[in-house]
Amino acid sequence: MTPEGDKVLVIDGHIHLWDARPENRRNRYGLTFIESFWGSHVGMTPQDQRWDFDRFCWYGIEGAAKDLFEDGYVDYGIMLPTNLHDFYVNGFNTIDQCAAFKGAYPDKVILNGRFDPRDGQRGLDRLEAEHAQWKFKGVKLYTAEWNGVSKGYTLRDDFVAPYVEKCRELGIKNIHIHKGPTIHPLNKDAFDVHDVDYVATAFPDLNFVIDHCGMPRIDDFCWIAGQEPNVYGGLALIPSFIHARPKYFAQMMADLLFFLGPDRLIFGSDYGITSPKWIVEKLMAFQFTDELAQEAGTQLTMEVKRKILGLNAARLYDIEVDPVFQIPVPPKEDEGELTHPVVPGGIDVAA
Amino acid sequence: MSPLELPVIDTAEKAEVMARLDEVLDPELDQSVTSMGFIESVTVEGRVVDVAFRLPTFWCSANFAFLMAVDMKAAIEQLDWVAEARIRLVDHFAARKINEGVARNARFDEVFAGEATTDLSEIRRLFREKAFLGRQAGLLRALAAERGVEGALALTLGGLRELAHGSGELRPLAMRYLTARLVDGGPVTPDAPAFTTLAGDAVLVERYTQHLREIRRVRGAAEANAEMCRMYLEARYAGARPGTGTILEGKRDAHG
Repeated sequence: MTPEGDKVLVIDGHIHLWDARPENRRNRYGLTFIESFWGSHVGMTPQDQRWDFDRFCWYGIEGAAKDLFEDGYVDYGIMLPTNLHDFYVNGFNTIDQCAAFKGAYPDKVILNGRFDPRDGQRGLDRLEAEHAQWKFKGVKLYTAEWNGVSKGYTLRDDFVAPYVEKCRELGIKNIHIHKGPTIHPLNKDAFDVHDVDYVATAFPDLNFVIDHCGMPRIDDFCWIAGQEPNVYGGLALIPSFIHARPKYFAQMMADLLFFLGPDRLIFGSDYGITSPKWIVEKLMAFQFTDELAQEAGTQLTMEVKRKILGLNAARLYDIEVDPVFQIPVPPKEDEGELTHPVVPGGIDVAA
Repeated sequence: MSPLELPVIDTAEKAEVMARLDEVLDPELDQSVTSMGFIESVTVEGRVVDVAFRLPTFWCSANFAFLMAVDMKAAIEQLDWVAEARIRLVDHFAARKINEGVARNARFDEVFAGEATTDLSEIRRLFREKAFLGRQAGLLRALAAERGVEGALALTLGGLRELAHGSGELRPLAMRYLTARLVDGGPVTPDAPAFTTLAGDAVLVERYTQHLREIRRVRGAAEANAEMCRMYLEARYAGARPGTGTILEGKRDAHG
């Protein structure tokens, strides 16, 4: 609810429920990994909103519910599982861990699946079995993850297509791909985003949400996404700049809006890196300078914010949207009354 | 939050070393390793220089870390009084491999045999080209504000050189761009256009807006990345340091 009384739908498109407690750390990598996340938390979160390190390592189901649904304005949260069994005994943020959150808050949590295309038939079977249980609408891929001797893969690798085909068959239409800061980047350029182009062209009927917008290759991402209508920018990490580095937040948003437009950006807080609370508050209050609005092709209007914060994700995930959250349509001159038409599941009422 | 500790520079030799390090760039960010706060300490013993450097996270890219270490070693060993420069990356998953490899002048793909299959010349070229575009964006925008678009685009390489060696406000931007333009962007005769595409074509007035948008995207990304690195580095080394994995345990080289 804004000070003006507008109700805004908030879908956090990027949340986790992780366990980095000492007893779950398999080795020192488990510690250094969560420490890197901690650097992000401390670097970007306003001082009075920071958590202590132990709380950061483990906040549990009720902690997450409070941070997201009670304090954080979140109506729905999309969970993106990450295994990391090499670092954590029971995994870091596995489907099972996320499923417990889904079990406790079934109406608010959207549980995505995950797979590693290097797992062959075994992985395909598991995806099918997990889908039978959870009816995924999206999956998360982590191209830089280690798997045995492999230190990562690209979406061009020939073992990827069978998995994407399986997603089509199962009706999983949202493929989230982590293209952001990576764990063990070694080869040529582990951040490379050009493989997204390839897979998006090959599967035009699926949506590819590129998490973290390819950062640190956001420039390449903007260029590629601009040409592929089924590529979306998963914003997680970008809005976190809004407190510590608002100028760079604004620049990145302007580029994203120019190249992708307001209909293909999905808000994400990257929870538990930080809380959506302060990000949503600052985002709702944020405006471009006139110069930047011109660069972006649009001001950060209420309409744009509604789309980014919730309506775009609602469209991808078939979430029914209450009319109060929709973008109000100004009355046509020849109509005497104010109307708020709602397209089922859609948002293009302003078109 | 306590400030980030920087190396103590209390001798002329150390100052000379730091001046060399000022010239070493993080290839991805196109900013110097000193301005990024990566240099933790500099020690000089006789003709041997020891430089400890740190990065924003334990998991930062090994390839960029390796390139910076190689460049630091080469830059310092150019000083005629230096017999050996020892470069020590600290608190990093690949520290031991990188430090040993750089010390014996090994190639990246030798050091990471079985993990990395490519040498780093390609990535170096890629980011050198991004740096060219980023530097051009900075200068072109500033110059267009001063002279108008047509005036700015009329600048020749000779004119760029004058700006770079002149006393105007644009001098630092011009010098940065000149050093990139002399390597990339086509012919370098004095009458060649200063502002060119990577392919070496002059930037045309009617393409200005589009061109500037394309290259500002590259520059904006590098700047945002650098800010992210600064935030993480400060959180890691000047902040609360839950720091259980690195400094406080005194296990710097355990995994390195």
